[in-house]
Amino acid sequence: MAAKNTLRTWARLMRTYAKMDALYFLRDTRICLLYMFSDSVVSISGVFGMLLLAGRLGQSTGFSQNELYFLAACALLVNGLYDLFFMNNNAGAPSRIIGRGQLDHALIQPVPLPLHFITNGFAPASGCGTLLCGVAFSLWAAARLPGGVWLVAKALPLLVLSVGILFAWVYGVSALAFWAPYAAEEIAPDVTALFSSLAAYPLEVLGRFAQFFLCGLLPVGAMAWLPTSVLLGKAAPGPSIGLLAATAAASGLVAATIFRKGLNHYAKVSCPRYTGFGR
Amino acid sequence: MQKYPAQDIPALAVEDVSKVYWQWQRGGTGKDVLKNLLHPQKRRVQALDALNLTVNAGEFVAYAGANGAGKSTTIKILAGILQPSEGRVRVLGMDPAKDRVRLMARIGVLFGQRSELWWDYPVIASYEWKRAVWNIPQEKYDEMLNFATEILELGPILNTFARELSLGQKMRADLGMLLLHDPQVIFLDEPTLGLDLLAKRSLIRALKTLNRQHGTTILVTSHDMDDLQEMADRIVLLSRGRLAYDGTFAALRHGEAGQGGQVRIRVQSAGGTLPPVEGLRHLSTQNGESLYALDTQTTNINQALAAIATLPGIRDIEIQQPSIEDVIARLYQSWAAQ
Repeated sequence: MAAKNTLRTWARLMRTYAKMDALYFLRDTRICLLYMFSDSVVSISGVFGMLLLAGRLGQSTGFSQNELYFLAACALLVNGLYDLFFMNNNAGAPSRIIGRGQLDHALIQPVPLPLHFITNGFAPASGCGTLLCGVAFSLWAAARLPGGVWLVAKALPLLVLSVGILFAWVYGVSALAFWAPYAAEEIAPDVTALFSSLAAYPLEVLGRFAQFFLCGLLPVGAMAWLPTSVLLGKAAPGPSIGLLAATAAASGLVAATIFRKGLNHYAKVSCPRYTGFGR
Repeated sequence: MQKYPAQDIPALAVEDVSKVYWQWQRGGTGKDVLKNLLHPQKRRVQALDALNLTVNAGEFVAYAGANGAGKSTTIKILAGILQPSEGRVRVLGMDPAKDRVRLMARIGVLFGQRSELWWDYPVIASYEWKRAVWNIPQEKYDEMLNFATEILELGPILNTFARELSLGQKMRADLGMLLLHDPQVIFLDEPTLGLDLLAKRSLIRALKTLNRQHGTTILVTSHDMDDLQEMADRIVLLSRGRLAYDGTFAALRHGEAGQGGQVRIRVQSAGGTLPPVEGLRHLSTQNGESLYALDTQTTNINQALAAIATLPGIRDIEIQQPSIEDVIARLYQSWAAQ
């Protein structure tokens, strides 16, 4: 019953934030067109950057050029999914909310905090640019591979786990802002930048330990390389998917623990940004 | 129409609540810097000190105190945003820390310098957002929207973008949003700060109507004592985190700080200095205007006025009570001196 209620609340909030996003996106024709144009430029330049990178890396990575295109496309899909669900209201950059003392706005709503954070960033209108580019790019790249476009559908469940890992890392690290609001206010964008900038690199050339480190402990490799390796038959599916799921679970657990500790600290001192040294 | 009649459970119950903060301390000398690297110096700040307060359903309470007295800290604790260091807090019988989600559906909080409105949207879009997030039934939402629109005169600004509202309009729109779920208790932290006279009057009128018609319990803080006196029946004064006064404005005025019922009488006459009047202490005479002091506890004011009226050349008589601002300023000064 409780799970059903939570699901209902989740659906209601997602609908609400989707509507708010559409209202924002469509508030003015000129601004809307400008937004779409600039968003397309950013997304397409991101794709071209990856195409150029794949073209350069092709020879010595253990991935063919087409496989590298698919890897880059998967990295773009992860970024696109993250933008789609967490772009608005700094939901994807919670260190800003905490550091700026804006958590009170969430605390006075009759909504459990986790539900608030996973819904209020939903941006199906203004945040779908990167995802659309990612879908187009991945379909094009998959069509050049033996698996065909079905590879994209197969990749989605694994990439959802990757998004979960990114979300957990962003929230876990952002919790630092509870103790150091000024210094850590902008740490969330740094975490997403770290993950997204390294996501498109193949880790084939690295040793086993380095691969494990970059897929389990600092899981930038779990963003795109590990799922792509499984789909392209370069890694054993069982252990690889197990590692991905375990990394997602462990990241989520650690992030939840740190965030809860941070919230307890917040409940004691509120936002200490304007006290002492501000930190 | 009292929707929430007084019940056995008080709207707010604060029992022996204390809150301690720590402030960093450091001088500017090199020695101090080095010393702080090893042993950071911190000063203990007692924001609330064994505070006890009970507010019954339907009460309109002014919560005042000098800067740093602990007003905002109390409101944050009552709203479940901050935990007390010690003591027990109940709002509508619930523990704000443990029942936050359930409690937030029944109370409203408004911090004067923060807005809950969505900045890039018309006011009505923020209201619709609130309806969805608070899961307010459509019928209740329509009823409260009509009520808020009427008492806060929101009609002309409902379709205006929040970022384009004046401070007074923004405060009214924020208050309107606060009312949409028909909260039983509302906390207002300095709602009149920065508002012009008309905006203040409009806001105060709306709050009084809300309290009277809906029986909403209201706890409001402000540094403007005249505003508080106009709004509330009861005033709670804090001093250094302790409850320093809890009672009516009238009792406060006639208490020790109100100088025991001292009033001043200004008499304008055609002639020069007026002769002494029994029971009145002459203070000054200037340009035909004489000022007397009268203690209402020892002298009958009617008899004193009758005696003044018999004096030659009287043109005007005015009774001046000490303003509530003066009374409270005297209190703050006396507490600061302790």
